[in-house]
Amino acid sequence: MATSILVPPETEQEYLTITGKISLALAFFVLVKAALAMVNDTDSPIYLSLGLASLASVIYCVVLGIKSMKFAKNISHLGFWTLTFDDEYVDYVSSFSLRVTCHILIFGTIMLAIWGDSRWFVELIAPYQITNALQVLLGVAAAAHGTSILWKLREEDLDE
Amino acid sequence: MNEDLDNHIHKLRLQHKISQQELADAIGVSRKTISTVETGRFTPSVVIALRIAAHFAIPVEQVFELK
Repeated sequence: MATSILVPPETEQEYLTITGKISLALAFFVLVKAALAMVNDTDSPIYLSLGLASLASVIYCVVLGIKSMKFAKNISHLGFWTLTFDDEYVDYVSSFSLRVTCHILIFGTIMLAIWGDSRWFVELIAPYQITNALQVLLGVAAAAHGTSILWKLREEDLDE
Repeated sequence: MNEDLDNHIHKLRLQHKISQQELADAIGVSRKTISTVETGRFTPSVVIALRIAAHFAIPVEQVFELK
């Protein structure tokens, strides 16, 4: 069977790298949002710093999102929306990162579904709310997604 | 890392004086695919294994072998 490569593998790799960076920016945003809940004094420099960091992560996320839009024309719809790629290694990295993320989310949501309303859990996370616990879970999952992609696609010395 | 599989891609590349990028371009994969296969961190599909073997014009058993 003849095969034809319609999308350059490097284009797919570049797109997945941007996706990983978006995940890290999103993780930073939701983790900072959760951290903001811990600061009671809204006039403190820490609160202001966290607020600025949150804003910076949103801007970075939007910039990367716009940058990723140019790949919509160059990558198949399946690749663009479901992170499925023709290049084997890029597809393996995408599957691996989604698998890690899925495991974290399933484990976290099972924990929250079972013990979310338990007194000991509510007392443990007090004065924070279940929303903050979900933000931390989403942040950890997104961070794992981005980190695993960027780690596996990291630049290494050419071995020629 | 696949502990059961060994490959001779690095040696074959040196013999044919081609870089990872040139081999990657020749068989239509990313350089990252070649580098990770070569270092044993990624096990390729049969299709890629056959394409690599075909590129060097040798049987696939001379590129990959079980340890």
